[in-house]
Amino acid sequence: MKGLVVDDGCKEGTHIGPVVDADQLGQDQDYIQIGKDEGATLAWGGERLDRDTPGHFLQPALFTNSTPDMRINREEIFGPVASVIRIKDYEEALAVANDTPFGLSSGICTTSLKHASHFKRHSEAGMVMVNLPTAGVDYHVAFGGRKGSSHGPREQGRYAAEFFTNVKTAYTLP
Amino acid sequence: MDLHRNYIDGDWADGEAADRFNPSNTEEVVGRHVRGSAEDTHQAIGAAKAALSSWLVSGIQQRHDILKTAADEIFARRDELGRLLSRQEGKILADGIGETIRAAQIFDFFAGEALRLSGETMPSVRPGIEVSMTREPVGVVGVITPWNFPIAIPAWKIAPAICYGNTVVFKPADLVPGCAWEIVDIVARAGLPKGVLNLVMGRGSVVGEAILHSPDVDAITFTGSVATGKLVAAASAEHLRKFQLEMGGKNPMVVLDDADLDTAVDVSVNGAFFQTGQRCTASSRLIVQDGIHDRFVNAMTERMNEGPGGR
Repeated sequence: MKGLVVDDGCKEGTHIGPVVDADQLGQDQDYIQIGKDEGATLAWGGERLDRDTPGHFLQPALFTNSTPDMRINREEIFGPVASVIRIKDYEEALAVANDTPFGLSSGICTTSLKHASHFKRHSEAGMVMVNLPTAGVDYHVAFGGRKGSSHGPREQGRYAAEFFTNVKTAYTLP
Repeated sequence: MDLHRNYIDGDWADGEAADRFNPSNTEEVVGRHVRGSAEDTHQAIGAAKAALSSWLVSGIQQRHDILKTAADEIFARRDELGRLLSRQEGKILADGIGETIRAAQIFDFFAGEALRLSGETMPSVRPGIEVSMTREPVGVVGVITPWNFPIAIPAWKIAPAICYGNTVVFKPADLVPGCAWEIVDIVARAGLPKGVLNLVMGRGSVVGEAILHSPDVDAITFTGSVATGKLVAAASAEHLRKFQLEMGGKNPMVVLDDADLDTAVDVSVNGAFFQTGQRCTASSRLIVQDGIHDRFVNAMTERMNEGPGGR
């Protein structure tokens, strides 16, 4: 697959559909501006796109030269915007990965069993992916996060019973 | 365009209506839906409360059959519902259909779980006494769902709620209510007794508020923003009710020097940009080691670059 086509979600060949509405589009564009103002480099994308139909089309945006303290790395944008943070070694990577108020999902791409295993144990997220995208989950296992991402029992799979039932303990002297 | 009404106590309820538009084509109307009032919400909560006493003792075969019938219809209509989803939310058709299949799988899973309800019996530490631990429904559950997975998230909250014997007041995202309406219609026609599942489409500030502040709602399951999640938590603390929140993310993807570059790019493009980045599990921070950094950035921008037909 070469190139990402942004267009009508129902059109053949589209990889990325529009932003859901004008408010969300405005938020995405605001954060792209914030990233530039903070000194990150917009390496690719981030432009509004015109297509055959009037829609909320936005190029995916990739920032480089970003740092963990920037708002684009601390606040959820909820759009096709990602930023690269350059780090020296695994230890710094783990520290930066965990340096967030959120903790839903995390991922690592590596061929090192040692680093993969350490990351699975020490990532402060509810779901950890090794050589897989942070998004994309199964329905028969628990779904949920830690820290500011989630509260209460897990969803999905058999763990759903924890929220949707209350346990009763009954004692009987026959 | 058909008007899609709220579903309260087994009846389709009228109200103020508003059109929904296709984010891929903002001139195309893709649904006309009622926006419910606070009074509608109170009626729905009342209906759920009234239906609880008989539903919590309903048979597991009945619950299984309803959930299985719903799963089968969702799966059979996956192309139609997936297209509706994509036209209302904007995600690509493959993802709309995939998410619809997922919703069917979730209903199927909980159809099976209904038949596997179990408890434990054990001896007491006091001789001659028996102890058992069993699971009972929580009661009236408020289900509040976001716009980004408009069929899968309603499925993964409503199917277990019904499976375990709860009754439901369901408020889907105001922006994308189409699939929520279809799910309720499907489950209702699958034979669910009236009042067990109630749908109140509308604004969070009206319908959501009424759910949050009702003393008759025993639990709330919420997926959405941090700001609204905190409102759910505060209101639930006031009523000492059970609550469950799934909110935002700022998910990291670490790429180490020893990573396979193609895998790292595939994983990062998918995680960051697919479904327009509108997933709470999206990778928004790509944490990349020195030695692979430049190759990774080059490969990413090359992948993002549009092919022929360009911008």
